[in-house]
Amino acid sequence: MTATASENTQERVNDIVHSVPEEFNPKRTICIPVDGSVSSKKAVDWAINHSICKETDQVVLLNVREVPHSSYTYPYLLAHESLIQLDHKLRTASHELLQETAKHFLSHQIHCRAVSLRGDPREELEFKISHLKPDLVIVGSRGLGPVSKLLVGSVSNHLVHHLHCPVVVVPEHLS
Amino acid sequence: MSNQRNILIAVDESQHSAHAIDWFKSHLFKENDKIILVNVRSLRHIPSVRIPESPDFVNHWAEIDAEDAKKAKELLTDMGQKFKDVNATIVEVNMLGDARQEIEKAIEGWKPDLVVMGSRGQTGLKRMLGSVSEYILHHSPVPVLISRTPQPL
Repeated sequence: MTATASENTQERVNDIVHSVPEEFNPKRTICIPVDGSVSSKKAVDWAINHSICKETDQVVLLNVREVPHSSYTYPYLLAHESLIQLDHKLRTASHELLQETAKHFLSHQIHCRAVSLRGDPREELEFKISHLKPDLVIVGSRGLGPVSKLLVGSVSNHLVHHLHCPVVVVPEHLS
Repeated sequence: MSNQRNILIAVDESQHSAHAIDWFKSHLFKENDKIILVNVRSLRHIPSVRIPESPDFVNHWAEIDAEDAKKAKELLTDMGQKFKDVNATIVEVNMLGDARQEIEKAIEGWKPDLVVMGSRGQTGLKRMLGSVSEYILHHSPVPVLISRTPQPL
């Protein structure tokens, strides 16, 4: 039996952490999911070095924070309040990561929006990106997951198989 | 001053491949890019147990492959023509063997800044990702672009 911190699991979370100025009218949208991992950072660098044209492009950064839940491995259920605190911590961490990454783009004079999502990364990213309809998605190949043997993690794999837009997958060990 | 980038593009006869090149050119191409066009053709199927119809069986097979090689060269040149209006260096790589392994070898050799693949090639199946693209995606040490041909509505 698991308990979650959220009362309404039906509502999708969509926290806008950073926006572009209203007068900016981008010709292209490049979406970059980030999670703080090594390959995520490489994806950001690759995007800046190879694919972004600052005059015409807007970058949309996405981060998906997981829903905290007590797992059967814990000897006891986490108290409801602890889950709420944990959820709040995850939310703060997500916002901070997005703000930091947005600042990095701004330092290169690249317009950037940032949105924090919550839930299963694969589903949330697929849903959000299918609505954003970006011209290109650039994603790191692996995240923070424990299975390091896999060259391509489950999230980037899912995106490549389910999105209808072009995707660049940037590997972790890129020099 | 910018370094010349190496862009490796997997080419086959499918529309997905042509579309991938068009998309790359209009969205990610940079002046002075070196475009390495790679086509991998497979050996025409030779049945494993077969009595050659004549002593010249081996030569006959070589003639068939020569035709395929010529078609592959024409395909590569046609694709290279897409870049004639821009400042690009075109390299044509004509390979024979298993597409997955040969493209993997080409990536190791050229160490490109980006590999460009269509989402599907000759695979007739309506999967989202063909077997060669899938393989290269999972084995490439460099970034891979999977381009998507818009499906007719």
